[in-house]
Amino acid sequence: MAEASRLEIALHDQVSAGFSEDALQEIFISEQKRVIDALMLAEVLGPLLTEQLSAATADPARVRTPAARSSQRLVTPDKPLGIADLIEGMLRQERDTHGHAA
Amino acid sequence: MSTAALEKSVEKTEKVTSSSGSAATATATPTRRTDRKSILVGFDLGTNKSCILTGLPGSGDIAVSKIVSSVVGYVRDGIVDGIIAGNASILYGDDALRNVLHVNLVAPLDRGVIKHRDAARDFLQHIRSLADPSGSAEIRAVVGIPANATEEAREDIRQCATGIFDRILLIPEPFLAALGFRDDARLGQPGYVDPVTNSLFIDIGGGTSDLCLVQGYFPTPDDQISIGFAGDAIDDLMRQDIDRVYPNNGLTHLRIREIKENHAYVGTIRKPIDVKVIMGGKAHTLELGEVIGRAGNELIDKIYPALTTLIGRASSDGIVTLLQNIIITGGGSQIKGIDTVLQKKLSDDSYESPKVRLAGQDYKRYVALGALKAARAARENQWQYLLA
Repeated sequence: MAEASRLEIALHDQVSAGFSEDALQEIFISEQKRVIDALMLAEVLGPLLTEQLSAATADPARVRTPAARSSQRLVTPDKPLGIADLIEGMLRQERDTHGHAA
Repeated sequence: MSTAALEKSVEKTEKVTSSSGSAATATATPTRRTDRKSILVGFDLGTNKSCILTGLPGSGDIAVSKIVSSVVGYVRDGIVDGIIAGNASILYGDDALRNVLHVNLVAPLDRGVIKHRDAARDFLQHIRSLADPSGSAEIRAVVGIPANATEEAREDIRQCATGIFDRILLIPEPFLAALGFRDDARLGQPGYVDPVTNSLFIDIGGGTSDLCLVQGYFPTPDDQISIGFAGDAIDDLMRQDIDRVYPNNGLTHLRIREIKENHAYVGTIRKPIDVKVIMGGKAHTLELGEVIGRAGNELIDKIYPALTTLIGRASSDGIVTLLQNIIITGGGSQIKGIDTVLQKKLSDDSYESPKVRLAGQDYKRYVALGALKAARAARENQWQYLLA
């Protein structure tokens, strides 16, 4: 609404500057169509964005599903865990991190 | 304590992690003087207190075990000869604190990361001299770092250690605490839960409080949370409150820390807690029950959300066992009631039979102990060289 008002004011200014009324009317109609298209797009996107934002601001603990951690299931080995193997896991993570950064 | 023999084969893989101005590291053996003995070091580089444990490869004995205040004192100009023992120009740890009137005290770390590089290098040099008075040994140090330490913080440690330690491994402190806490003699015994298999460690230090899930694999960044609120922040809160209630009290930072260490608690406010202080040469009694309790409870308010977040991230397999293995270590484990308050909060929030316990009297050593275990077990190609 505010944009339409501003457009109207601008058009009146253009008329006083000597532009033909037909040309101005054509501009007004095309801008009106653009606004209508934008409103329709907002009606479609609005609910989708709201849903996305709600998910993003939810408790991060709840966001993590068991499926996301399936690659790191709790290990209950028969033998005590080797420290060197655990260190290897750390170094692998660091290499993966540097690889992503690169 | 179990020991692991180092592998004798060496890979010829080169990996240089240098960028402009950074320490060059490599994971290969360029040349090595085989006549030089090696000393393994487990080093907890704490914001306020550091712990160093050393041992020889292939031995289960601990040769050096020291707790050192993480502070360097640069002797002021004009100090008369003989005032400082040996006319030293730099003092370390408790020596520096004892001579506070004659030195400029510098804390190399702030919130677990290096803040003053020169002081950090001097401090590390001192640590090296404790590990190896002869100065001739090869030093292989596993150094504890805060959970999720940035690459910049890690590189700062490497740069400061270059020329002082020969090889280095940086490992998060709460994980090292789990390793140190692990009773190797009881591994495999029925009923003994290996803390490295399924536990949640809360390491409350001076600069940071680090929480870490340890569930049978090396913790990922998602398994760790580091909070920049710990012992020093409690001191700051107490300072603000004391200054408000007792203006011009003249209490030093160190005295407030001492009051905290003697009286800190969490939970319901306890009164009175009367503390005798000397102000302007005269003895005064300050009632600090509410001041101390408010500051301690602020720590609970910071830790508890992080604790429940990590519990939420834990594998659903064994979650009940995990809830029975929440362990608090570090200086913050000495805060009275911290285990019962956290346990009660978990129970009140309907977590299944939680059990929060304290690491015990050895809390100062667990990170360094875990670091020494890691140093003993690390394979040859896992060490990083610090090339000067």
